[in-house]
Amino acid sequence: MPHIDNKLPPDLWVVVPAYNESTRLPNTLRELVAHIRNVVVVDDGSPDDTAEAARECGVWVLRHPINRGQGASLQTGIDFALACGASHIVTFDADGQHDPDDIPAIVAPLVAREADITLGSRFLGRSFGMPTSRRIVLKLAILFTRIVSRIRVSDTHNGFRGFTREAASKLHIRQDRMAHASEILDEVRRLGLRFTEVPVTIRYTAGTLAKGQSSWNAVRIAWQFLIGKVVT
Amino acid sequence: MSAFQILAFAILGGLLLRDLLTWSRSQAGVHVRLIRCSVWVGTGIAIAEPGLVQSIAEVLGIGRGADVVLYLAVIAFLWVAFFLYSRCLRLEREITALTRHLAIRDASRSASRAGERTTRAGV
Repeated sequence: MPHIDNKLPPDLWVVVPAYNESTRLPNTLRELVAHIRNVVVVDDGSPDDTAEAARECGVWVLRHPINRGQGASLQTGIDFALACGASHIVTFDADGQHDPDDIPAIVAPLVAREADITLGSRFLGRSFGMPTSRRIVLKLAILFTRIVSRIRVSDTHNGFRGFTREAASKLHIRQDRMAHASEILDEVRRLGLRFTEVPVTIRYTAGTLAKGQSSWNAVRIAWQFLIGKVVT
Repeated sequence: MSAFQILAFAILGGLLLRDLLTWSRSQAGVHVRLIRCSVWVGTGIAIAEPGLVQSIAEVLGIGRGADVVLYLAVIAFLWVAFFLYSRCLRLEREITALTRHLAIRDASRSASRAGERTTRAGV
């Protein structure tokens, strides 16, 4: 019998974007549903059994008929959660990198009305198994964000975030692919949303590193973000 | 009149004639149609009177008429590339919006681990 965390808001929703995660997703969802009542998985047109694997865990499942990218999946899940009356929304990776035990810390500043958005930070918290190349790329991304988006954060591309309903309603992710992380920070500054960083734990494994973004892909993400800012 | 001029006039004349004959049926806006016809006429004049392009180059301080044509071609290429990328991006966003609508419309959840399914159409 799952133990739902009573300290969390009853209308908290967790959005999990997933692509080809049929093997790792069940473990992630089992951990999540033990804490959270409302979980929605957005299967981004996976050719494997991601959607079925999610359904077996008793969570809401949305399925993109075609692959549209992680940014698009997040916005789909957020739209759905808002339509279902979410008071707070947390975004959470499907591959098991994040720790559900960090969710109360992510949500607390939102519930206390101290922030509109909380951003998970692996550099304020802990990370296990992070390669040096990934660390360097992430540090460069922080510098890029400070220059381009003029926002000072310690971790720019962490998928563990929390939103109040009001913030999630204002923020609209237009970057369908991986550049959405930079776009969210850009929007936080543009919309004048209050944010705070929360220390979180990230667990890298061989599987997550194999599927994750290559270091060289960071250049493509930066290009997508910049061109997306110019071309409307 | 050189062979090149005869060939160019034939092609440009054909393009202009086609645009004029399909004027009322064209789906493009009046501005686009006018610009397109102006390009055919302007190109024809430039080919008929190369000295005119040279005069424009001198007025603009560019020097050679061929350079004026080159610069205009580069500017036109950049504009077309930007225009097409913008159209492509808008199309992608529309596809995403449609995909999102379908995904939310067909949202489902197994009511229990046994697999009974509930749906939430029209959210």
